[in-house]
Amino acid sequence: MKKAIKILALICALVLTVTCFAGCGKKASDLEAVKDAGKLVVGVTVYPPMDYLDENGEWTGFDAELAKMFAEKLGVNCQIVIINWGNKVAELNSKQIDLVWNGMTASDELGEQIDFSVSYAKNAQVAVVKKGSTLTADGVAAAKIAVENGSAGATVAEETIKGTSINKVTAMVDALGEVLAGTSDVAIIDITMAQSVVGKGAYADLQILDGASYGDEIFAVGLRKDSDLKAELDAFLKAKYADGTLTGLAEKYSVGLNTEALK
Amino acid sequence: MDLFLEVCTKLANGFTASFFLFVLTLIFALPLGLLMSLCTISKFVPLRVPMKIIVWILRGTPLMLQIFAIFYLPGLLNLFVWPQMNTGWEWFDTTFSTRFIAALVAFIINYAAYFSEIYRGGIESISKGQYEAGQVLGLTKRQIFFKIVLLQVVKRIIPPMSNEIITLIKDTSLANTIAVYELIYEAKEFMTVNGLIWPLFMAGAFYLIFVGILTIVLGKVEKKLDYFKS
Repeated sequence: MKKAIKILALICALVLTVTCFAGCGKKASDLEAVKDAGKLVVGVTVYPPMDYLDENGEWTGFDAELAKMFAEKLGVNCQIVIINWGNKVAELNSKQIDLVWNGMTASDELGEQIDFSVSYAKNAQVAVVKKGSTLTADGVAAAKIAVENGSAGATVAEETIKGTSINKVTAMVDALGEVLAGTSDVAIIDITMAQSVVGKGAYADLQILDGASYGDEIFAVGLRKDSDLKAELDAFLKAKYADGTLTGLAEKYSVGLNTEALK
Repeated sequence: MDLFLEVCTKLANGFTASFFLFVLTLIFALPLGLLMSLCTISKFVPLRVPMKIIVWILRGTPLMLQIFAIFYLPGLLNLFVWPQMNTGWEWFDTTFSTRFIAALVAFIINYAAYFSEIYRGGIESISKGQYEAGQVLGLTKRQIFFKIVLLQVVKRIIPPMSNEIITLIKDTSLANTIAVYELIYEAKEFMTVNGLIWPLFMAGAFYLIFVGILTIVLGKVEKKLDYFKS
């Protein structure tokens, strides 16, 4: 009996220590935390042309190149990690990653949870179908639609198109896979990605549906609320636009810059 | 052919993570489960009641949710951030990543909860007469438990344990909720990047073969422990 009480007391003491430790562990400055750690952790998914792996397994793409430059400017290493896109807010707020830099659409809903950098690119959603499909832009609402869960395409499918059968998969490439496999008739994805992959390689049998373009959105980098990295990041993006680096990257990866915001 | 080799290599890498997740979970969860079962059958209320509640929560919520909570909650509550291994040995650091460790912790406590109930069933199935016989022979409580009861418990719980162990190898795929690069994750990567579906079925073959080997091994263990023929 006495032994058990001793063990219990020990457990209580341990819990108390952990709680205290937690209270002291709060860090106010993201910038300092990143510099202390010596690395900037950027959360991405495989999403050409923004973030993807080249033949050597190195990260490349419009966003990946920029992220590496930003880390270099801060004087730290850039660590790019693949996250589950649906968990991006949890990843940021739990400090597993410092930035979400993956062609993320800056929506109002998301803005309540996290902060955005200055917008650096523009985007729209398009419908992708199999080559030879008889589907027209008017018929999309009644077709079987595949979208990435939590993406701008999902919002468009629900609110703009008002689709009757919407299948939410975990990534945009999965949505394309659905169309390839015939399990869905049409995928609603970003125009940026559609222009970069559709009609090529594994997606040679797909095409962008004429006249089916929805909404216009802006891309931004996601940060934790009130992060002091935002000022650094905004200044960095504007400087890179001013010196022409962004324009060069935009041509290389065929991305539409948000020129008004970057001035 | 190049592609086939690439798929094999990637899947083998994924399987390594699944395999370590499996082995390490067993190593830690088997003893932890025994400890938890001893708490749940303890007559000491401050030990028994909290442990019963813990087992209830662990068995009553989805493992996927527990993995999610263990990985994200500490950071969200400003408690701590899961540390990154930094030994300089790249293979080690990437295999046992932050995400892997968090998933491993979730698997260990979840499986320990299930194991504890199996142990409890085993311990409670030993008849009271055996304890009394032990006392008559002048053995201490400790001696009775380790030399008489536990030996028979181990033998009796092998079939239900085998069941859980086989479930565990397939449950490791749940780790991909927090982007651990295990077998299914790697296979799905081919689906998303290259639009290939067959790597997923090949991953299925990996599980099937491994479970086949496990079944044979566990069957041998069962035979070996077939002492005290009744």
